[in-house]
Amino acid sequence: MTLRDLKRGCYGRVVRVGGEGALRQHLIDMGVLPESIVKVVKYAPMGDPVEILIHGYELTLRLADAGRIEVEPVSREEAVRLIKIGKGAKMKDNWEFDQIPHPGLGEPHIQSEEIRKENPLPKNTMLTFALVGNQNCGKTTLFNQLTGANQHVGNFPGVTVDRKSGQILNHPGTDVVDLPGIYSLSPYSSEEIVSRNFILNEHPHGIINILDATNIERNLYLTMQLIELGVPMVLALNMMDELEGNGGSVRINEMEALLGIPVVAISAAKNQGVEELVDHALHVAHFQEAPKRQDFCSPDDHGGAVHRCLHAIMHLIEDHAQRARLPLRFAASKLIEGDDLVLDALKLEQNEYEIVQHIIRQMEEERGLDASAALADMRFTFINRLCKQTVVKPHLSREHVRSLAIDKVLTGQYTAIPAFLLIMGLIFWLTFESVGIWLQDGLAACIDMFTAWTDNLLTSWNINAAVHSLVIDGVFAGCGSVLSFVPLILLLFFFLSMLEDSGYMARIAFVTDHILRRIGLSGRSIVPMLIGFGCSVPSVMASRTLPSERDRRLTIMLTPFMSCSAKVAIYAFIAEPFFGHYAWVAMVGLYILGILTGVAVALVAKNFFLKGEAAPFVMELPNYRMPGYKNVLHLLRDKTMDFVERAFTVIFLATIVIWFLQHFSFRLQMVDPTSNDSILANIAGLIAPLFQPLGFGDWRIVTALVSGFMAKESVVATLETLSAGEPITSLMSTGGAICFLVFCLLYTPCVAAIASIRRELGNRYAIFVILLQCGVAWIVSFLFSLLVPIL
Amino acid sequence: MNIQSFLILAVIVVVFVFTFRYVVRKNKRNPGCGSCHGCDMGQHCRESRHH
Repeated sequence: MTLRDLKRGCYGRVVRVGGEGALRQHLIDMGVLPESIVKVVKYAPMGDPVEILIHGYELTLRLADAGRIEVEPVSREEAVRLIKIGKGAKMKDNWEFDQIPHPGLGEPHIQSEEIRKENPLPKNTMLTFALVGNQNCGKTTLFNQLTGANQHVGNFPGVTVDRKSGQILNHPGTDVVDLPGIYSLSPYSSEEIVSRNFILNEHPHGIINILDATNIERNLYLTMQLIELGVPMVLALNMMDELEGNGGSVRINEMEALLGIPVVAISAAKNQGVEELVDHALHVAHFQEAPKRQDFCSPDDHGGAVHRCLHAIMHLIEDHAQRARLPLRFAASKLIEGDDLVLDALKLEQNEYEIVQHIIRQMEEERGLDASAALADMRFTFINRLCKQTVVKPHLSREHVRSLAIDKVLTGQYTAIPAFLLIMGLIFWLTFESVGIWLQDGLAACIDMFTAWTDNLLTSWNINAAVHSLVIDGVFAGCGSVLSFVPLILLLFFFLSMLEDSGYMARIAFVTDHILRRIGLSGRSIVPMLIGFGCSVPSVMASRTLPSERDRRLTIMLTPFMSCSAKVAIYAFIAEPFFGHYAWVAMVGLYILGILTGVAVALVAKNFFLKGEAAPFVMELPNYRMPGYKNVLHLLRDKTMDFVERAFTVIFLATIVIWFLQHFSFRLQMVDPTSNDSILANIAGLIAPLFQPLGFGDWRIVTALVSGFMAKESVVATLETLSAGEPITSLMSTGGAICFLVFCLLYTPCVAAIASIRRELGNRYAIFVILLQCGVAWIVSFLFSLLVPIL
Repeated sequence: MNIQSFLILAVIVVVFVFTFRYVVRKNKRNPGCGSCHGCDMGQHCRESRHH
């Protein structure tokens, strides 16, 4: 039977992992191996995907992929017994030790002069470190502690999608690079390639490998591959406070001796142990202390098949690995796993290639497993033995118990979708109706008071009418109207960051995968799309976590349909005068319309120009955590600064230019701003007929739309400037307002979002997105212009 | 035009020129959102103090 046939709450022993290619390798790297014990925790509300418990952590995968994993059902008691025995139990080992002296690896005051003189780098060498670890193990938190930076951290896998670097605090001449989270050195998604390429091609002087001590077994899998690279490294056991708080512990000395690298217990969130970690990292990098042990395959392990295979290939390719500047053991193991990138780099001759294949086939026959599974099994066997000797496992952690309880509701079969809708509804209601509107009204009143005070001051100074108008109708009306929307935008960002930090975002992906697959996307695409409600720029960047190019293209194409927070200003500006108390209904309606249009476009794309299946959904579900107030505050502060800066730069420039074009004719004579003689009226008048069928052909509205390409908030500033005190209701009818809002929702994203799309997918795709969005916006607005009179 | 009007106009023109220069330079360096805050531009963002 297969894993998909296993009932909820049942246990099974993996017999074979079927499938092929990168997904199979990824599953194996995540620990889904023959003889592993799995438990089916639950199915998503729509029956797919399934959440399983393996090696003490929760993993989600689709039923189709689960159907490729053959299992043998076992009773709960048998499962517990097998987990206790673990892998490698029958192996002879000589690891019995009672009191091992502290090995003192990477410690200047303990090590002998002999070691210190090993390979010291010249003084003043810029020491570069790669910060590597699994997804969601606290890398960015540690990076922030090390460098004093304020990078955003979240509680779902894949917050860091590009590398970031910074100097270690109080240690000039150092550079730490925070790499995206990876599970192994097999290239599965583009973020894993970023990390692997950095380590292999840019040769950092040291690696800081951070791992989640509460999930040590799976995290050590990457550690073993990093050790194979032969680069000086330090192991940071993060979240030790959580581990110890739940009755667990780690025998650091023994682990250090067995792995041959310095091991430091830390808590990145509480800044505990970080100083010690820095001392060790600087020491191993400066003295280039390579790991003391790289050979983890044992001659006792299943007759030593893997051991002999690895060493034979290592001897065979030694010269090629040297020429390709690849670490020997790493190259050999990747060759066995069938990594094409490494195979190309090694440039083996046909004869050598064939010998390698024969050796691998012989190993597979002796071991009874295919090459990838055999290698992963060898690593997990070592890890199992290591953990048995050095790790006291915690009881079920408080955080996990709490997560299980919360998940009963938030991912429950009947409660997940209502809970999701309720949470999103609450967020929109708080933002656009109650709290957000109170705060906005308060700020708008303050801005109005300041504007009136300035107006009086200018009048009392007898300022020239044109300059007076420039200041009040241009700068104050434009920048002031945009600034008053700061509270709405901040509230939306606040709630989105709460979703992200708490760990709920990963659950949304789990719950919505089945629905998203119908439009050709994976559940993981929901994360960039939800971020798109905040801002399209990070949302486009976040699509890097998706493992398939097709999914990335489709997700990037859809994110601009998720109404970004800058558009909130337009909605509020138009909806309040036209719809009064029902303004919030109109706003929520726009959000829903954006999603529905995205779905329609996705269906067209899926069936015509982006055909294919959605990428596999293999994702870890993190425990729920209380969002860190510092993290949330930093994010809000940064967003406020960002928004205010834009109001006083881009929007300031735009309002002055528009004021000038509106108040002067082509002969540079001052004209009535509402007349048709101004430069702006003449230019905008040329394209205004295009919008006549949509019900908003006024040149002022068209100008506002054009200025929105720079920044969406600019639409409001422009309308405010151009209306010259005239109420907005006089510029268009209610029907026209609806069509205008629909057009604003769907038309081209701002220049910043287009720039990031261009960076991710190239010029042609960026132009395609602009044309697609404008075309779709026009068509949907036109449909509304036909529908509104009927309704 | 009185002296106050002239001064205010001069200030606006100077601020306009400097802001324009600032925006153009910033977009040349970082052709993204124009801000290093809170997004994941990473190595592309030279505006950030980490680079």
